[in-house]
Amino acid sequence: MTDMNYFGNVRRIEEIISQLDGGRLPSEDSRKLFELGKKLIEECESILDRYSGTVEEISFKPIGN
Amino acid sequence: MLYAVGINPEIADLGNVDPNDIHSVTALSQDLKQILSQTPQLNDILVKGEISNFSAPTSGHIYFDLKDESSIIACAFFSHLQTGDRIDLSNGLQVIAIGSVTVYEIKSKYQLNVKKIIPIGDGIFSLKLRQCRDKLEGEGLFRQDRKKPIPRLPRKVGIITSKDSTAIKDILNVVSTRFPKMNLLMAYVTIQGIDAPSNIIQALWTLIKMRDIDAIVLARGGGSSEDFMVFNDEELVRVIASSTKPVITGIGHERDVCLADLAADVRASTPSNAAIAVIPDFQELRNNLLYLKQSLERSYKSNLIALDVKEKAAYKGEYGDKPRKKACYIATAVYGEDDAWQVKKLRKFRDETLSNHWMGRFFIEVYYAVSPYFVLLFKDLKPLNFIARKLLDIVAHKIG
Repeated sequence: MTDMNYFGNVRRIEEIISQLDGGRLPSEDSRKLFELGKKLIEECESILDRYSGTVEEISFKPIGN
Repeated sequence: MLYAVGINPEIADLGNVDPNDIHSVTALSQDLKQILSQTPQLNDILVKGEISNFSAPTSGHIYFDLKDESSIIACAFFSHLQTGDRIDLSNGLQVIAIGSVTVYEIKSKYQLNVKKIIPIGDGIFSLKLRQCRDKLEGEGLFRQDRKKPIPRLPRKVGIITSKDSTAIKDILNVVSTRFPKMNLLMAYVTIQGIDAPSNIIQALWTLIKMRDIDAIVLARGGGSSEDFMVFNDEELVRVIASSTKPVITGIGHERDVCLADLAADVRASTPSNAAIAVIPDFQELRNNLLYLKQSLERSYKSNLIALDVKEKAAYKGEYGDKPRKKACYIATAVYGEDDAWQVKKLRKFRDETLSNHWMGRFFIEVYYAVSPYFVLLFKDLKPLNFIARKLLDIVAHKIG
């Protein structure tokens, strides 16, 4: 579900930022986290970009008519 | 005025009718009013019915409808006739009204001008509605813990309303302002009359089964109390309550609450508010992503700078690759090499004298925590480097 993917990513990005802010990470680990954060942001952007604004229409006729 | 009557429509045309025989609309309306006022069967009569569409504007006059199972009549109770004890009138009250039928001339609409009202009790509609509400409430259909959360970013939103409803325009306005590219499925139904509940249920089931629809809005614009009875239909209320997808109702205006509202996951007062509840603000989402991106980059850079300071000083680069505890940062930085005699003496003093005493060990800990930062300062400020060197020379002599 889009909602879970998108906001799951947002939560993970926020965690990554907190981890980086906390310091004490070896440079390799912080680089990996940074790359992961960037990837998650790109995923979120791509979720938003996938919306196309389609409007479908269905008419329901009353039963018996 | 006397008009000719019994005009034969087959022979009448503009050439042979007497202009004096032609009614104006106003004259016709006045005639109707006069005829009704002269008809004894329509004056000072008793009418039993249930109050609906009650309204009491500041003018002091009271307007409402009286209805039974199949008919309805508009009523006006003017303030100068409201004598005696004031009665609490409201929708759903069964009453006997005493009054006369008359014509509201401007619209040629007949109505009952009420002179007195005798309340009987709850009307049949009101009783039925209350019984239904109590039953469904008893089954827990309106419980808060049954309510499903509304997705913050639905893939597609299903909107059930009537095709000619003003609700559509209101909802599309919200969509174009908040999230123009939101995917929608418009499900058009009959929203009024006896077929409406089953028609809405049919649409609900269809939308519930559609995989990519994440939320359903059930909307209609304002109307009379009778128009909203559709949304008190027991089966419709049950379908809303049992829906696996969140349902948001936006039915009529603030004052109209119906059972469908109670069963819905979110009840909005209008179709626009229902749309606002489920359509996210695209710009806000974008801004939030941008903020996260900037924060991530900022935090990463800060982390790198902190690492750079510590790692450079402790492990590598121009000050040697010795383990942290063995290096003597400031002295090494000041003398430019870690085998200068002053550096060797200071290191020896650290290992053989300072580390044997708790105060000395404490000093060593503090020194290693702050010295990497001093090193960076010394590196770029030559005068400071010179002073530090002179001071260290003195210390090295003293401890020697």
